Amino acid sequence: MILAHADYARERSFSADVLVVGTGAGGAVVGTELAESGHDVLFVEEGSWISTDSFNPYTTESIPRLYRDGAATVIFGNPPIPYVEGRCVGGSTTINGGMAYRPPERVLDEWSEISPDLGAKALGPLFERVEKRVRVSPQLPESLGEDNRIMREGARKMGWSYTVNQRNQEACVGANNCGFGCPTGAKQSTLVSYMPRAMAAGARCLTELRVERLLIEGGRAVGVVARAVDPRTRRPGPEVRVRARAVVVACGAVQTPFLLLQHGLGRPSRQLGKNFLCHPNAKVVAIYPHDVRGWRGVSQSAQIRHFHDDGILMAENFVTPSVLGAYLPVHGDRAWELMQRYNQMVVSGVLVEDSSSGTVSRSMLGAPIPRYDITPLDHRRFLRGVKLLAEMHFAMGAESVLLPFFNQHEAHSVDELSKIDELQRDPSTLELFTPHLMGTARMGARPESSVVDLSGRVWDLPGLYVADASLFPTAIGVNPQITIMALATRVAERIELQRMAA
Amino acid sequence: MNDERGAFEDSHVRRRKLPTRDARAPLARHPDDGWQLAEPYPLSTARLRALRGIIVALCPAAPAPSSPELFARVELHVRCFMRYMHPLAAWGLSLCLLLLDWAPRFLFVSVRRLHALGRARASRLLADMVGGRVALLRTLVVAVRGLVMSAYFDQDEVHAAIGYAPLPFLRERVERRRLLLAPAPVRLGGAR
Repeated sequence: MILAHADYARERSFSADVLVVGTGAGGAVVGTELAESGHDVLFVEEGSWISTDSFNPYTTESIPRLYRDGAATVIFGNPPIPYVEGRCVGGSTTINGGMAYRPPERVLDEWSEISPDLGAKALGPLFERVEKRVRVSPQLPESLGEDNRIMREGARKMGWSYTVNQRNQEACVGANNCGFGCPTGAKQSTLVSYMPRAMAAGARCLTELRVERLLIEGGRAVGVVARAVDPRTRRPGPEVRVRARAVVVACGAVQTPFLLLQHGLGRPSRQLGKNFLCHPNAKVVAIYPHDVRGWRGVSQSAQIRHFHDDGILMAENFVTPSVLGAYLPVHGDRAWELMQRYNQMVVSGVLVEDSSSGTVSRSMLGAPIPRYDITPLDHRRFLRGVKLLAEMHFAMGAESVLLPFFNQHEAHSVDELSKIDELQRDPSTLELFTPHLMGTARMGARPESSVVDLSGRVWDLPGLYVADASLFPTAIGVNPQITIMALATRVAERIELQRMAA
Repeated sequence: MNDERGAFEDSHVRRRKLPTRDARAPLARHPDDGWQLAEPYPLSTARLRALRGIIVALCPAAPAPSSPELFARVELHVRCFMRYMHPLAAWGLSLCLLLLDWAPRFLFVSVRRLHALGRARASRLLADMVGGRVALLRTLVVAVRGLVMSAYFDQDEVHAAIGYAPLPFLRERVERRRLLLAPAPVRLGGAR
């Protein structure tokens, strides 16, 4: 059963064994595992169920349908960092690039010091399970495009290692519409992988319903209060109550602490909303003298991981004219001049692993306030990464490179790149962006230093679990979806064990 | 496996929400899937005038596509986008439109407001604000510029003018994948 806004005019009260808030990498996985174990599972999802054949390449429709707050979301700090997250069934897995990496060994070693349960040995079988379910595999060679070839050749020319990406895909043919939903159904987002399994196992999904607060009775979480959203006006509609024996919150690293903070949770450690991590990244757009047509072929087929130990990743990441137009540092006739060369562009990016963390808090006006500042170390990493990537493009014959600095938009030669150190002395000039939000309800073995236990259970509210990227104790330096799925599988296993024990 | 998932979507989603799905081609704008685009965000006359002035200043002039009808679509999309923003962000943005409209006076550039400056001059002023030292002004312009440019570069005539034709390509890829996953054809006569 899938309900949408109009259905709540007649039915406003629901109950289930397990209520899962969110249907992304965390929520869909925990709900599916439990539904297949025989639990009566009910999902509550703020976005709509958009089916595969409704996806199209148009920003003006895809962003409102699939992204939170029309993608007009920002992390405050120096510099401000726009971020995006999915608001649809499948959550961010519906709109991500489909990278499917496990965390590096050094990260899992660090996590295993918190508890052996978070080490490579304990998480290994969980990774294997989710990788099988979302069909993690390398790309078909025929799905690659010219921009992929340029990046591969560029890395070879510079003597850098180049790693073909593992992606959650089945026969991906490189439609390059990942960010607006995969129109071929190849990308194994939770919309097409986990959610159908959950529904087939009898789960129910209430879509277009935003959770406003938890229901707490007798010191225990027993459900949520939510509101339907009017699709025409976006104003809150009727109140809907959902009761359950266990409540799993999987709304992402910004919305999860936002929901929990209003109930004063996280008291033992005061860590709720802290440890906010975001893998900021910067775009480097190269303009070549010949046609590339980067939109004809898979986005992010590989990564340059040569500098991964220094916390720097590089990749190609092609986007539609609309997204690129919004990102351009210029407007008017100059923007047109540049965009006429859209087919000659290679859009690439530098991702930096966080060396610090920020916070997510609740404003008095009812909005989450993420805060994050770039550290001097990360600033240096960005400058280095941008210079290296731009040098690679020039080595491959690029005529010019658009740089992610508001006071230095363009370089026409390697010599001009030397001005970067001179002009970029402060992080405030960086133009960054991020789709990776993590770490605000960290998992741990002790209530003094974490928000949830190793089962995902919130230390100070029985009946309440977290199963999303909030759980990460530290940044992982790679795309997070597979790690979220593995931890969500762990949460599901523990809920099942607790039911059996009871 | 994937066909089963398709069948699932058919039975659980499309049947309920998509009675007229055959009316439009796959991948087209406005798929008939029951999803509704929100109404344009309400703006006062002054804010609407400001938005229109900003759109003209930010979008390129001819020979780039630049008809009044195109700008009206950009305006509509910007206002629809605003409905999806957090209400505080949408309100802030509408205030920002007014501030930008009054910016020529605040910055002692002209006694006229932005919408009355003329396209070239208004465009130059916005560019100066982005390159300026005042972070607040820079952020205001960057936010509005992102929204307007995103809507402008999403229009069909603009796509055509820059040589971006996603639909034939995507349709070919959908078909290619269908063939990849299709069972191998049965050989008549059989192999010996």
